[in-house]
Amino acid sequence: MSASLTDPAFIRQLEALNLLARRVLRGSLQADRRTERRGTGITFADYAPYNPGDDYRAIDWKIYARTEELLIKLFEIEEDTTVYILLDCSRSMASKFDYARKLAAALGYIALNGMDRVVVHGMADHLTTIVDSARSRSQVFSFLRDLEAAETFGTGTDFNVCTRSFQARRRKKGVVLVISDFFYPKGYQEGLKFLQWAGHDVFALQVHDPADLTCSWLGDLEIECIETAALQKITITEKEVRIYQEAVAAWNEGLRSECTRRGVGLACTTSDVPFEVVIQSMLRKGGLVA
Amino acid sequence: MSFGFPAFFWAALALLPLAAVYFIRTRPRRQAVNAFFLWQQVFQQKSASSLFQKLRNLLSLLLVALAFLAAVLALTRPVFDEGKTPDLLVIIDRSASMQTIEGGKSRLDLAKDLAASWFTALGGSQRAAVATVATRLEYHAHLTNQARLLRDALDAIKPSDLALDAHSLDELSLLSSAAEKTSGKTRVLFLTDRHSVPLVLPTGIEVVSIGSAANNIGITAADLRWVAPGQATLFASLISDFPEPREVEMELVSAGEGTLARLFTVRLPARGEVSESIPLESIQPGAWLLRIRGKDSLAADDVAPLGLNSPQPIPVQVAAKNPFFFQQCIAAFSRADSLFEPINGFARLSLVEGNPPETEASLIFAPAGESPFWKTLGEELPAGPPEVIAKDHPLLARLDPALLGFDGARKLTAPSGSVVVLAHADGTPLLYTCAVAGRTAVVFNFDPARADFFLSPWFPVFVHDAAVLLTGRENQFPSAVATGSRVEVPGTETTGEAVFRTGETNAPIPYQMPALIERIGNYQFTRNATAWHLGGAVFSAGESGPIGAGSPPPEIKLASGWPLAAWLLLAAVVVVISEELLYHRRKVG
Repeated sequence: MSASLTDPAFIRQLEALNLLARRVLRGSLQADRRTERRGTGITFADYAPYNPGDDYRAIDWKIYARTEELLIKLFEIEEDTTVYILLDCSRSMASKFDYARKLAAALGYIALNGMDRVVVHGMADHLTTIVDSARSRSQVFSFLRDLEAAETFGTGTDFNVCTRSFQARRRKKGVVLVISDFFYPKGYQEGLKFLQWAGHDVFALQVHDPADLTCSWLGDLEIECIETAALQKITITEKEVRIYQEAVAAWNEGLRSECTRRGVGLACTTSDVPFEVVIQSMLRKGGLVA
Repeated sequence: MSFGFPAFFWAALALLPLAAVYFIRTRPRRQAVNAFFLWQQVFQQKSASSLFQKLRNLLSLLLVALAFLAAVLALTRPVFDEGKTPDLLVIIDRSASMQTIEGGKSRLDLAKDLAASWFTALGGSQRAAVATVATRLEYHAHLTNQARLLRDALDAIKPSDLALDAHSLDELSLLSSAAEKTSGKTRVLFLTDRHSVPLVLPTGIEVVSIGSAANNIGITAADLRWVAPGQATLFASLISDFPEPREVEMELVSAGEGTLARLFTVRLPARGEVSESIPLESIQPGAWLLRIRGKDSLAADDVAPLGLNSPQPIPVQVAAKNPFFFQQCIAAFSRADSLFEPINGFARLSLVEGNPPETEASLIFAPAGESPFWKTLGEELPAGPPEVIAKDHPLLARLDPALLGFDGARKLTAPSGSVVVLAHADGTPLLYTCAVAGRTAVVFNFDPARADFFLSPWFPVFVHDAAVLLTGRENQFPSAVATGSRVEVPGTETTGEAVFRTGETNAPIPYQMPALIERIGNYQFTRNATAWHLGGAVFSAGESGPIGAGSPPPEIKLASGWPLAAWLLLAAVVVVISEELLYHRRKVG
């Protein structure tokens, strides 16, 4: 039975991760993301000559007293950032779905504590909404409850369809975290490309069940696709094991190459690694790096 | 083809549930996977052998069924003999010649190997028995179809030093006649190298020849005798199986220290015999070994243990009015073979004219006076040829009674129980032996002083033969005997000691008289405080010499090696292994 995401112990783990995030990122979390647009924030950015129409309250009178030149102070506009978490809810995630939810919960918790907006979508053969929008610390529990209620669904995984559906729903740019095993029969390239084209900062968090990376069964088997229920009889020998492992390795290497080429941050983990270790590692690296 | 246990064919019905279980067993287990599309790559590479994959289950079942049927068939013990499976009585010759080495193995081992191969091939309903023969038939395993028991019986067969007795297989004539009455249910197979005295085999015995011609020289007879005090003669007879004349060196050594007493050369004709007499000087009594130097195919007959015993003369005295001729006779036999030892008082034997003294034995010429050895001594009888009463008596072995006149014979009556050898025409005993009150005597009822009998050659012959008869020296204790012989050691005690020496070892053996000499070696018997040395050797021209005349026996064709059932079981195992190699991939990849 999976542990509850609203369990106090789990919450304490999330809080510890949040504190770590604060210390590591020194208050420059995504919610405090600087923007090139100057505005009415409280953080000084630069000086600029006064032009008629500018807010005269921004004139730095001290500079004027010394230089008799009217300069206005520019402040960074502090925008709230939307963190989109695309959680793979296909049936192929069943063996690591709890793990993936914990990762999503941890990242969402940190984002909410950074005053960012968090949106969580479920992906399978179509896109569903798990958390429509959450912002501020007060919505942490509802966020976690909604995430906890999420289940696997669908009869396949179509990343491309889901990304297009996502873009159709969420026009605002943001940070897109894709938590998935990336076992997409129709590929991941088009989906990643589309998210980048839409202006999102895209990060990929690949989660594997260790059993997916190798094959521990030998002999006569009837292989069943967990998503489509397709069946195929096969005799598995060492040779077949080797071919499968090579195919998995090639698939993951292809994902890594694609992310590197596109500048998409990628982290890979397996469900036997404690999720907090993964988050800590990500934080210490300063985020998801390709 | 016939089947020993056809009921086992019912076991084939077990194929039905086996096939059902097989189909249940071969349904593959289902395994859900997350990356099915990646497995597609594996499926694509496997598609090349898909036809084999489809047929494999059927082929596997077929192999299992084949293996099962082969095992069932093996259980039925099939044989290719159209129902004729006679029992076998395998008789192995374990005489001394079977110790001949050919190709590194003795003939006995070759025979055992051949018999073992027959036993391995025994069908389930066929039985066999094992026996050996040398001097007599000995059964080692009675009729059984248990090949292991038969092989154990073969392993228990040890070589013997005995020569094959010509009549050892006589009792098989009963078996042969019984086999004829029961439609030949038993085949009697005699495995022999045919090195033996001519055998008259009962009908129905099939001879299987073991081994081939092997070059051998063996001692067939040997003797060591005193000829005079301190002097002896060695007699040896040898036989050669070599196709060309050969010279061999022979040595006579003491059995204990190996001291060489004589070395001499004997030339043997091709496939022939030769005898030699070698005088020996200053030889001591004891145990000796006569050996052939060099090696040949049979070592057992290259040595002849011999015994040279101290002379045991008979203490003798003379009680005659004219003792001269008696004393000359005693002196002559003392020098020749130490038969007599002149002694005054405590003599065991008396040579007497007239009335005998109180000695254990007496040779009495011209009886006179009163004596328990005769009654009613009367007037003299007229001379005339005697009448032979006891034909083939030892006293007549070396003389012709018709040449004797028996001058001076007197009418008398022999005591009851006497053995009359010669008698006068009127029935009066002329030569007889008798025993009265523990004393024995040979009575010569004539006067030796007449008709120059003292000077005739018959006088010493009478004295010698009568003396050895009365003292039990008819047969001189032998120097060596052939193995298988029984020997009575001189003496009267029922207890004594017996020691067997071979090589460097001395070992006590059970003392019983007559002693059975079974092994090659030196024997020493102690009886009445006197030690007697004796040798036991093969001493058989049949064992040592060429194969007896006659055409070789026809070749016996008998199934050997593993029976059909064993091959079927082996085939079943091979098929199961093949199926396992095939099916093992399904079970564990």
